[in-house]
Amino acid sequence: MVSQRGAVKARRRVNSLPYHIMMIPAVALLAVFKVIPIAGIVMAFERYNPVAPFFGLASKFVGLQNFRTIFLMHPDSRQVIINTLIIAVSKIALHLAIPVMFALLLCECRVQWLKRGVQTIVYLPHFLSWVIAGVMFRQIFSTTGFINAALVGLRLVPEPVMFMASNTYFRPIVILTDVIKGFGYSAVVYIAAITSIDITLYEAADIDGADRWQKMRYVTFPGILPTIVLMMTLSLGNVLNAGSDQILNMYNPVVYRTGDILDTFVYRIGLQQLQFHLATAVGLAKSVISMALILASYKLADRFAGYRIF
Amino acid sequence: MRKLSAMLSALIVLAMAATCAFAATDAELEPFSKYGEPITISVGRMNNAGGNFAPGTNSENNAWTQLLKDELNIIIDVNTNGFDVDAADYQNTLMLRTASDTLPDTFTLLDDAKSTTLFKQLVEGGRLADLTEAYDKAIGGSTKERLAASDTQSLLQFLTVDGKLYGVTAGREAYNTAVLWVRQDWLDKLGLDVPQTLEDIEKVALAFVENKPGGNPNTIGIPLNPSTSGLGGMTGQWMGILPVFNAFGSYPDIWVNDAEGGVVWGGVQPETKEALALLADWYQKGVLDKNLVTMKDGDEVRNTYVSANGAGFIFNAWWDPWTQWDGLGDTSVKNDETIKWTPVMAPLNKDGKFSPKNESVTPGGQVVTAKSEHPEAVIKAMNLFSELSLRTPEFEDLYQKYIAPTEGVTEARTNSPFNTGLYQVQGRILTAENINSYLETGVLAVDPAIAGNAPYIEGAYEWANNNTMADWYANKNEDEINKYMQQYVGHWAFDVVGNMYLEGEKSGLYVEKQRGFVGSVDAQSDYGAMVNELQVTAFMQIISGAQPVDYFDEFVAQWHKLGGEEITKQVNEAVKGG
Repeated sequence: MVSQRGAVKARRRVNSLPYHIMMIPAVALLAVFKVIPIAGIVMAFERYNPVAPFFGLASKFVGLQNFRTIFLMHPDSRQVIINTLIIAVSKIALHLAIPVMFALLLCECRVQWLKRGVQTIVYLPHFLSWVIAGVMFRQIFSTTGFINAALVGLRLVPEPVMFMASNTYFRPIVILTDVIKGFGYSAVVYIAAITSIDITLYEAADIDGADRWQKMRYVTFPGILPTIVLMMTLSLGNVLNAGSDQILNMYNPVVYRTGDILDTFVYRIGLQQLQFHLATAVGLAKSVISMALILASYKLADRFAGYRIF
Repeated sequence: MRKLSAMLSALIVLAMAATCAFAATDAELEPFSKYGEPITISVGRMNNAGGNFAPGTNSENNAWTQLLKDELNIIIDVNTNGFDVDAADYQNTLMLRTASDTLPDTFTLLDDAKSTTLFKQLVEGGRLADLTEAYDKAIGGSTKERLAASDTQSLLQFLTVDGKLYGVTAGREAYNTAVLWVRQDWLDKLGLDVPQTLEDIEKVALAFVENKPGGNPNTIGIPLNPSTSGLGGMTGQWMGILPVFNAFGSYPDIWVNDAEGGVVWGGVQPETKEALALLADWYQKGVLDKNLVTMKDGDEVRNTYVSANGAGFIFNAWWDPWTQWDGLGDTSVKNDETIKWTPVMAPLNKDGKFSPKNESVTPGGQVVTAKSEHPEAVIKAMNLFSELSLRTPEFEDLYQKYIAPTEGVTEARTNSPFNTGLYQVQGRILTAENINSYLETGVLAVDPAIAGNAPYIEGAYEWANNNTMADWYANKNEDEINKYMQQYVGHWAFDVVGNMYLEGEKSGLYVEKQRGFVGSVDAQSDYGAMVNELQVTAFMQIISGAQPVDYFDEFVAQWHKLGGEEITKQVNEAVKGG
């Protein structure tokens, strides 16, 4: 009996060996680019000089001075944090709601080629980089772009609206364009979840005389609810990531008031100007908060969706 | 303990030995002496768009490098340990080389805020060679005379840290300030005069916007580089808007002397607020581009307006003719001979003067890294470059041998391994003087072989004589075009602009504003980036109307709070101490 179990174990080990070997490159990458650089955190507590080593003479240890400079002295830091939260939370909310609605509606579509076609088309923008998408959206919303041409042409506004240089419109535009670009991709998960719902439940509903709306409401939606909860809790870790690559490509000094987020702020005053210690200080603060949020969301995911890794 | 001290002393001996190995002999420190053995210096080079290499030559092998090899036994290495990159990639390449500790023996430090930071970091990290002794001994010939005559103290202030010199510069050329370039053909079309004052500029700009003489429906008045790095594109030479600030007596990008004998930052002075008020008004009226803030960079602005017949103004320095010639696509002068740009010293300030900041004393220079075995080699090369660029009689034979024009095309100065500045100014002035007298009297008053700035004078003479583009247009093969490009550029850049500065200075129209301080203090590495960023943002917001003009006062308070006060304090200490 024992020897049999041992043999099974040994066979399992042999079977899983290739998988472990396949994991080596990924683990190595993770170590080189994520684990080893953690030592660089020391920069946050120095007046770091990139010319000298981390602990060299040229880099002076300054304690919490960098954090004080950024978070207490800089007049914009509070607004930047507020912007980050507003933009990130709105994006998270819409990235849940729109793809879920889209997936629900798409699955009601009975014409297969239309369904496939639509899904592919909305899925594609995800693969455009923000450098390209940013230029496109800046053109579309410019004073000579087609949105303004339409608004002026229909006499809805007397003269072109400066969408991209307006503190009223910039934030909504950032959030909306991000959703437009990404919702097709996010919907894939929900479409998969809908497909995996047991077909007999619909048959039972049919027998009970449910119409299409009631089937969606009482069968499909509860069926994908665990997935929705899971996606929601997982996205909590991104509350401080408002999408720097998008905003860097779309913003300008006039909309810093509403559009500047932690990452772009750090990019401008830290990386662009060789103030690596300031960039690291903000990055570290961000990581600590994100870490807490990820732990919390992991607990929540476990409780509501039974999702565990460890 | 004994073991440790033994090790330490061994280290010290080693270090001393290393130092000795790098010390040049007295013979080698002679300004024009040739090295006994060939030495190699690696050079980090910015590939200047104006530098065009003749067939078969490149940045590592051309007339200038041949000159160094034959006369000084210096071999220039650009491709192995050095580098040669476009201007846009230059800073990033320096950063990468710094991080990987593979900086070449010598490279040029630019004059922006980022370079200031890098310079301080390199000095603190011990990566730069101390050039104090080499500079004292190796500088010679007319460079030495000229430096003796100029304000060496402030010239080298920026490169001096704790009494040691970490770079060399002969200063940047004088008269390097931006002037207003106007489309003369547009003015003629609309029957307008060349603008002089702020009011004139506004009037002409609005006329351009209204009548669209170039036929572009999106015509704007004055293009402005929206870049926000450093102190922003608006303080740049190309497509900046500094002359408008200067017309109010505002100098937002330099330290200026105040009435009490101290030094203050120009960006937070009340004059700057007045200038911003006008710019905000211009923005509302449409003199500035309404889409200004959403433009990505200067190139986008140029492509959208300047090279699309959509702008009749541009602020730029004397070198704008290079762009006019073939940098503007279909609207380049090369492709459309009806286009004509005229430079003018405008806008004038309330005293009727054109008063930009002094450009000849700026941060930046040529630095040598600590691992270079022959730090003095750069200085010796600089001596030789200067003599040949100035065409001093003693070096005429070398000039003829290496640099003199062959078939009408001169070896461009920008092709030399590094640029040490200053020397071409005198040449430019002489060119202007020569051409003036030539036009008046019909005789060459000064022998151009001796007096002129050789690279351009032949072409400029020919140009002045013909004063028409029909000739080059008739002979549109490549060699001819190259030749005529030199003439076009020579004529506008060196003759017209050079003459304008010369006349301006003679008549008192042109008055340079002296800088209160050129250097860097510790607080700048701590807060400089943040206060600069604050300034660019505030200016852009005020100009575009996102904030009222009175927001300037709030900005000034924030500027001081965020470290500006500390920087100002240290700068004043440095001024008083040094």
